[in-house]
Amino acid sequence: MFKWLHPYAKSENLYRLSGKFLFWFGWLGFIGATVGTIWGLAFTPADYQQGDSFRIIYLHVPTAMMSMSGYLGMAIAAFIGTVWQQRHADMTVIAIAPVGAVYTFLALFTGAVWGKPTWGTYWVWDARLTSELILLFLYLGVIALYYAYEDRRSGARAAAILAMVGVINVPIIHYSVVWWNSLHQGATVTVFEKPKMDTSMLWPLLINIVAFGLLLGAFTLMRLRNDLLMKEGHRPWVKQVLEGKS
Amino acid sequence: MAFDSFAAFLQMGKHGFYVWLSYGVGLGSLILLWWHCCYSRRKIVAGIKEFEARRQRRKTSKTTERVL
Repeated sequence: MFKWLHPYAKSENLYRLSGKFLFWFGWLGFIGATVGTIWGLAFTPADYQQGDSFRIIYLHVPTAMMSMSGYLGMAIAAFIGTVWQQRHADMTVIAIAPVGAVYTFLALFTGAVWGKPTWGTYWVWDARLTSELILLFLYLGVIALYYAYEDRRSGARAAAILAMVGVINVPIIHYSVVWWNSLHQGATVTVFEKPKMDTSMLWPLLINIVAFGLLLGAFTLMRLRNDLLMKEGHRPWVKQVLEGKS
Repeated sequence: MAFDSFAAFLQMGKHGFYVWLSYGVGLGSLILLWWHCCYSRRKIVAGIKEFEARRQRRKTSKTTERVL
């Protein structure tokens, strides 16, 4: 059933395929984020209650959502690497981790900066904020474990186990605003319900969510390609690729 | 356009500091991430080329030894 996938277990094929994806993810993500951000900053009406500080939403929500999606992706890659011993899956785990950590940091930072004018405080130890902070530590833990071993395979195993165990945090973040009484507001955009936002404000948000997802993919692919080149630098295909300039 | 002037756009209705701090740090982090990807790629490619050049040198020096 998955036979069509097998050729991509070859590093050369994976490198070339990820190059094609990188082109589209990178450019679409870049254009989307530029359009969405400028639209959100300059062309949406101000919020009736929060005024213009609400515009931080166009950075805060996309980075927060993608920090969680990125973690899910990383945990799935860790599972594949552990169960089927697929070494490209292990490489994907460490390719995603730093990108996800940056996204999580941005979600926390923009949230804190938004909290000051809106709640009157940068930080509260509330369920949503604390669980997102734990997500940052999980990402950092995965990176630290990976590099803590002299042997990269042992490091990848340890990091993969942490990534899989830590995935329990993702639903906790998601439902934290439902399960606990939180200062943080509930979900603005959900799949099944009508969004709690006017369409004039919603469009740039949706564009930015997709664009930040694409950018997460693009950064991950760049890091994966670097890792492939580093690990297989002595192979003939790398020479061909570098001479062919792609 | 939601603002009357560019000055009003920068001011963000007295929330300018918070909005621009968020977007500044966001843009800076993403550029840093991108730069780091490009920088490591350059370093890795340079390393591979150097290794290849050294291998080539050793190969030629061995053949000259044999000729001598």
